[in-house]
Amino acid sequence: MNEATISRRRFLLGSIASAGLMLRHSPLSAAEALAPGAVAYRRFEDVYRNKWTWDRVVRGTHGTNCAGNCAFDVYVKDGIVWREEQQGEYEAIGDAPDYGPRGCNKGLRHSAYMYGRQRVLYPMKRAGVRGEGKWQRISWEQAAREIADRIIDCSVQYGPQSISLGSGTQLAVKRASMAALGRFANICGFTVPEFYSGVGDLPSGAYMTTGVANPGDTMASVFKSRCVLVWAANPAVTRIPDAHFFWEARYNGTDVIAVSPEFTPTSMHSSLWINPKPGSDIALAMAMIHVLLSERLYDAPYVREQTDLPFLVRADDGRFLRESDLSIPAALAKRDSVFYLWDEATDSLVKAPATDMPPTAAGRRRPPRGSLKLGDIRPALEGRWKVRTRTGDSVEVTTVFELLKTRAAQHSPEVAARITGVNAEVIVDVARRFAAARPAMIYAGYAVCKWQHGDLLQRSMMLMLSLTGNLGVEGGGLQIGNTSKSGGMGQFMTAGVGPAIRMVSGATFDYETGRMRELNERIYGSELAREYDEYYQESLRRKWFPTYPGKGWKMGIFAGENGANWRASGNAWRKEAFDKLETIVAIVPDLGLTAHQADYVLPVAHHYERNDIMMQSRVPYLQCLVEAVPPLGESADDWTIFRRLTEAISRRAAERGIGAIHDDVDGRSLKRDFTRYLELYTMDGRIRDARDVIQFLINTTPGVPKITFDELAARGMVRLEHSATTAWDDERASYQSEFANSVVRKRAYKTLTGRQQFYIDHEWFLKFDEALPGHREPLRIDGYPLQMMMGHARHGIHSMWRDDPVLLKLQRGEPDIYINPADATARGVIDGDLVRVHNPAGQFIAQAHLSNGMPPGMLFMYHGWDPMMFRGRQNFSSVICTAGLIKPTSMAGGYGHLGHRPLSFAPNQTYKDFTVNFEKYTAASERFA
Amino acid sequence: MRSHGTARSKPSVARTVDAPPGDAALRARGAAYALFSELTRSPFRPDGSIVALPPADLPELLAELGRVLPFGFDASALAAAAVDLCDDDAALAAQYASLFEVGQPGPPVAIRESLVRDDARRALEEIVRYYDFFGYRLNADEQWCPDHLSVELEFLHLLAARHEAGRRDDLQHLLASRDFLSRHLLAWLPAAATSVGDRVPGSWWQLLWDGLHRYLESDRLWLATTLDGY
Ligand code: SF4
Repeated sequence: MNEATISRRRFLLGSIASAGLMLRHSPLSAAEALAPGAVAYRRFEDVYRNKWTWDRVVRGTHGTNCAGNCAFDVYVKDGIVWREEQQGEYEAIGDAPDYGPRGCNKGLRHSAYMYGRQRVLYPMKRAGVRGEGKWQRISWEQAAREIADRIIDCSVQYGPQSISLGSGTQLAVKRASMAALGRFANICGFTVPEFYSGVGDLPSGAYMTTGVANPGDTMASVFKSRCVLVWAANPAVTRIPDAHFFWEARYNGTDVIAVSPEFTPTSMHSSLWINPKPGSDIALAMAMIHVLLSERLYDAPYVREQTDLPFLVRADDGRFLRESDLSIPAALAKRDSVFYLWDEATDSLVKAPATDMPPTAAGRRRPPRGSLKLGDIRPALEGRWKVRTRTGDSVEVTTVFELLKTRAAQHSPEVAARITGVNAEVIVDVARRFAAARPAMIYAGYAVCKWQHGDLLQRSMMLMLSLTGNLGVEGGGLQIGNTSKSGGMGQFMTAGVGPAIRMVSGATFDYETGRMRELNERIYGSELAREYDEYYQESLRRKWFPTYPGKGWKMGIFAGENGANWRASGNAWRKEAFDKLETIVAIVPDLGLTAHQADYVLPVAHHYERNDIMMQSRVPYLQCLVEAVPPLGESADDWTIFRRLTEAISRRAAERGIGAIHDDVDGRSLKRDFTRYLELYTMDGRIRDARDVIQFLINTTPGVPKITFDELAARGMVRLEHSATTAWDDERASYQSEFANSVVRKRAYKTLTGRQQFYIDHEWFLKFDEALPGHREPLRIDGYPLQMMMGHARHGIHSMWRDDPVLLKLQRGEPDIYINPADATARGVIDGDLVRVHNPAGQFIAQAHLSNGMPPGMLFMYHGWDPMMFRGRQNFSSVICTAGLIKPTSMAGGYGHLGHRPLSFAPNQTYKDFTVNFEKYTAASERFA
Repeated sequence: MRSHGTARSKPSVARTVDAPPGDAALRARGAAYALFSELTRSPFRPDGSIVALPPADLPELLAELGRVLPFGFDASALAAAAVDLCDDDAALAAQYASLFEVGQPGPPVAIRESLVRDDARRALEEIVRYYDFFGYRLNADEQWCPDHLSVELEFLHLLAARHEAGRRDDLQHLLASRDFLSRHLLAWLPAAATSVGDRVPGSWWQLLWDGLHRYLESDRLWLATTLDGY
């Protein structure tokens, strides 16, 4: 029934002209514009008579850090995305359940959310004072020009390290976007505070033990397990597309045991829930280790071959017995990498195989250290012996295993019961169930890493797995999240430029820029503050970790992150660092606090408005984002935004006659010529858009099928190569297969000892009694009795979708905090009241959500609520005061695998060692403007 | 103050309507929609230019409309405000942006229907169905916002113009106008106009939205009377 279609603008102009009332534009003939047709409209129902059809159905997913990577079909009509639907074309992996269809509530809201009022659609410049909310819409040309001038000025005046380019999880998981950001930062020499340790997710305990920070297999491996300890994780809420693997495993007879202080939706579906008090998990793990050891439930052959537990340790100084202890030439040559076993077969001291690490010339690849195979050696696990040192003295040695027994005995189930609140019999029962099941796994949340002593907890988890022979076994292991091999991403970032980026731990970056020593002093006392700072400075002095202080932090570019939201010690950091920046640029799709405080806001395209690719180890597929509709308003994808900035930098430098500057990064001297930034960024014009970046990455990433982006876009996803099993155990696969390399192929681990290393005899570890893991009381704040815990939310991925009106209706409509009824009653609070949560660091107001699922003495809040959603713009980050708690051992270096390893070993910014109190909030107690 | 006859002002275009009275009235009805569509359109153009100021002869245009429209419409306040507007495209554009385009948690005033409707998706679908039914297609850069005030007004302009250009006994365009007005524009614009008034009382924007609101109400009444029994 439609008439011939006419374009909007053309029609309007012609028609006004024909009306004879406003001839601003050249007239168009009325006949042309108003060709009458045969429309027969009588009432509104008539417009519904035509069948609704789609212009096209496009493949897509959501490029956010949900780790879901769910393949969707995206339905488009008249240039609008109307709906999305889960793509159901995943296949099964062996006898494990299918991955699809995959999806969650957030993903299914996105087609509406992307048109929401929170959306940033145009480049904006601050018009009032910071945070006032007054904006001027500006053109891309103006935005790029002014930002480029600031980048040039800061680089010339203070050095490029004075500019940070923060990459958040929203951006980083989109591989083309991350590659673009990395290349931009590398060319410009910016400081990149890496977010992995910045948000306290870095599994440093796993790294300390194995030299691999990110152990993990596919989700289907859960199904292969016979016992899964779901520890400090809540997959029913946080891994919605994959939670079914746990429940299907249960149907299949797997013991799924939830370990969390609060009763979570995951606990509800598990075979057993145990609830240690917050921060007492190390005691729980060590008690189970005690059971494994005392009841001899360990896998002795595995332990002898794969771990350092049979390695000999000197009784006098607690250090490993080394070749340099025994031989004068070795001592002179400082050969500290040969370790010893006591061979039961010959009742003699023997060198541990595959420990000798010959010196390697700088820049040369270290040769492999030989096989872990023991041959005829039968290493003793228990015993004490005397050995003669190079000086002729006799020194007593014992095994790490013996030391571990002693340490574990200090955490007997009875002792642990007092610490954790979990009945000793339950601890024994779970340990036995875990030991009896083969394979068994620990599915650990990143929350583990967010405790100051999360590394100790993770090391004790690794011990449980290793003692039972479950590390490196399909269906076993510590499941956190494997990282892909560097391959294409690194190549793209550095091609034609070389590595010239300044990557630092987000934790150390904040420690320095946010004056966290002073915060430590205020909250935790001067003794802790002084001690931690001394070790921090010592680590820098010894160059174990880098720092790029230059002339201070002057300009912050925040891409794909809401950095002012998630920071531990957010208030202190904003006051001491963020607010003092000369220029703040936020590159965001939606307006949160970071953008609200910025000087410039650049709109970035949302998930259905851009091309990109996604990969993550839990799902063995390469997924794509496909541009279903053009970027809304004037938004653009990350590649394009950085291209506009490099273009403007090059143009402005030429116009202003700014020459190249000299720079020095980690000892590498180089020139940075602003006028060449564009040609460098685009590889002399060879990379034209995000599709070219994607193709580069597809072509250069190991284990990725070599197809064109168009083919991928047509299919939506393709199975990664060499992913036939549920474990990443094939060396040719996209993900690390380190455990299989060692357990199956008997290659040495990338640790000092070449073994799963549970004993760390670094001087700092010995001093702080962390050579072996053991319970540590979490830090508390005097007078504030309640532990506050947080976790990922069902209705948002970090701050994304947190403000979606429909998702808010499924919650309480505003930020809420879970409270045990007894704690509430004691303070005269009933469900739905507003409460003021406070400690010496700050305060925030939220709605009381009373729940018997919370243990007394603990508050819980799902995270991600942007400060803009709170009264006074103060969210939970105002009471979290832990950003200065950089424990000394996390800054240790000069010891085999320990030292600065971006994304593998770095101090975490932790989030849990603090306490709060709360009171009913009323108008009378109003404390905010 | 905005001065006429300067280099910045737009050329005067008002001229006497030479069509028969009936045609002129109907044509004026559609032209008013076109005019309001232009006045509420984002002043930021895809080529980077800014066009925020109304035509220099807006007072004359409004006066002409007032004389010719098939119903009474007093736009004198709006006309007076147009005369008083400062001659600064950029400043007016900035006001537009800060009212309707940027802000947290969203622009202060919604200028798109789906941002304020509880049944946003259903409303949007119906809008697109209307557009498809009458063959109204948006340019690529505007397709994402068919519910923008300016676009909805232009659609009503199209309906009015088609009615005026077609057979007078074919009432379908009037019926569609009546339904679209009540089911869409008048379902959300009044509250938005109030919001504009609350935020920038006495401003050009308040007068514009108030004038637009009154125009829509007048047209609704005229349509109801004209279509009485349909
Ligand atoms: S948001 Fe993540 S988990 Fe949810 S549907 Fe999208 S990709 Fe899947």
